Amino acid sequence: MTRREVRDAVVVGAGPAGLAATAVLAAQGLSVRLIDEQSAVGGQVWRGVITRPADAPPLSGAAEARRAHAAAAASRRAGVDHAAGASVIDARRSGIDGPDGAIEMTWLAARDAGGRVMHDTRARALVIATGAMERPVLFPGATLPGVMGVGAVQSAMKRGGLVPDGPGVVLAGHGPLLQLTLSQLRRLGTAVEAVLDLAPDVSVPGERAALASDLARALRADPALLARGATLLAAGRRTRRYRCVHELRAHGERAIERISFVATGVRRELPCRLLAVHDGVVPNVQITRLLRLEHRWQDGQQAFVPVTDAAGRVSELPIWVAGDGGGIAGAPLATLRGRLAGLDLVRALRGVGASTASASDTVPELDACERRLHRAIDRRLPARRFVDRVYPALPIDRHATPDTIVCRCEAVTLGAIDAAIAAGALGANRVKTFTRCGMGACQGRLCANALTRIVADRLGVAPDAAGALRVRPPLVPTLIGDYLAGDRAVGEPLAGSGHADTGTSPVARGVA
Amino acid sequence: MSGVWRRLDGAAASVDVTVDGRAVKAFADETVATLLLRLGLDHFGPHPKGDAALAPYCLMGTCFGCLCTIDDRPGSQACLEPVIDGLEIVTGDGAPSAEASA
Repeated sequence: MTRREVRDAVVVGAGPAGLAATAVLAAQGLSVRLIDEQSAVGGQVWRGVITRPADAPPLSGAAEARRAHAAAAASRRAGVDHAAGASVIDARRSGIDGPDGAIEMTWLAARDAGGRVMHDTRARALVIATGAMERPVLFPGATLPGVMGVGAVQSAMKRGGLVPDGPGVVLAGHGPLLQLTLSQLRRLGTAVEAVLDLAPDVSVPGERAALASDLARALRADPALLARGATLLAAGRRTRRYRCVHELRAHGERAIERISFVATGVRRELPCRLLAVHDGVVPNVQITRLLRLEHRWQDGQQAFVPVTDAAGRVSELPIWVAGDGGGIAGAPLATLRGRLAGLDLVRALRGVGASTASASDTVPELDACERRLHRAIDRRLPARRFVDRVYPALPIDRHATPDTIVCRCEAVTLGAIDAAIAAGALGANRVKTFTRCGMGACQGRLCANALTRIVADRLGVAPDAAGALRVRPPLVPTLIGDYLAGDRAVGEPLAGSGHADTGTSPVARGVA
Repeated sequence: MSGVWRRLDGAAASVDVTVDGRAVKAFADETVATLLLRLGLDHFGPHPKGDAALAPYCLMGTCFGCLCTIDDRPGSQACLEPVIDGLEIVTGDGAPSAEASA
């Protein structure tokens, strides 16, 4: 049976932004459906804070753990309907565009919540707080077992209590998360063999001066954050480090056995059992893309970001984007952005078909939150800009060869993409049609960013012109039986539903 | 196969699951993916395209490289699945292929 329900608001994502938004909405008396694919709240940054055994070694500071527990408790207290371990299958705007429109979400409940049962939630508003994912890094051998994202090491530590054990543990790439992981592994007794800095040497004239002035501004704005960064960097110096690495390759018969690379003109080889790579994080735009919202390319982040107003609202729609999913700014700001989105949503809903008196109740709190958020942004943004300048995204093809796989699911190589472009595929979606890039199980989550950058680079056009992979339901591989088990006939749309661009039923498209 | 991963704390493994028909004790805070990694598996099935392995990459629900069959449901994301008593996990290498079972 497809279970149907009606709520005031749906929040997708239970990280800092989603939890903050949820707490505000519930405290204001709105009925909220919180959908999250993890089995416990916290998102990626607070992952495992709730579930880790008490005797496990702490991974984050006590203050951070307190914040996580407080956020989780706030959403629990408010009696929110939390669907943990649930997968969003589809999201639709129904009715007319504009503030009176509604949102329909189709999602699969978790196995331990009575089975993977399909649900439809109709709501007056939607908060998308789906956070960040790691920016793709392309190199030969990257699909071998034993090559993972640094984020995967974080995840295994936080949820599962696992650390990689030496010998042969190598980190490659750059960025704050890599430095943090290096220091954590060291503290937990894992010897990291080497760190490979994959970025080119940027000694462009003027770059040094720009870096210095950004550093000065960042130091004035957020000295504590920079001090933490400096401590991490100092701790990391004890690990062997290769700079300006190029031609990174992972080798092995059926799993990684060794890596090779060129550093300071010398080709080297290291035995390797786990290679964890990292090139910063980008917004996860799967749901904002599915809803056909407007996105713009941000050069500094080398990623598409959904277009919203200062409160995270998407133009006139009843849709808000909060946290890193609306542009990378980190967890402390994500909490404020979630809170602000929640307050703005309450104001918007109360403004529709309600007395203006109740709408004005939340205005002073909203204004205060807006002011706090802007102060926090002013404080933290210079540090973020400095970090972005120190760790710019790697050129997408720096370590790639024609044989390098870009789309892991469909095993589409850079060479195949180049051939498609040469044959007239003048955009990301044309390349997809030619090659199946982005058409596998992950639905382009992992390769979409890389594909846009490759197409833009090859055609010499802006990434906005190169375009992004179109996202279609189902968002995760879904069994026909999940649809058939529903209480509506196959092909029958929900009343008044349909995507703006096709108008066909979610069921028909899901099965097709 | 010598595992790359080691468990940090000394909590008792108290959850009973099966992996490819074999009874296994799991820790309550594990996911199916971290369980399989701890058991020394570095991939959970063959790649649908060609003879390579389909390897877990992100462990946060994005890459779909950790797909396996959990409680008869193929294509389950092991990294999102908490271990619970009685869970039946079948990795791609241990599972009969579609042709074989047809």
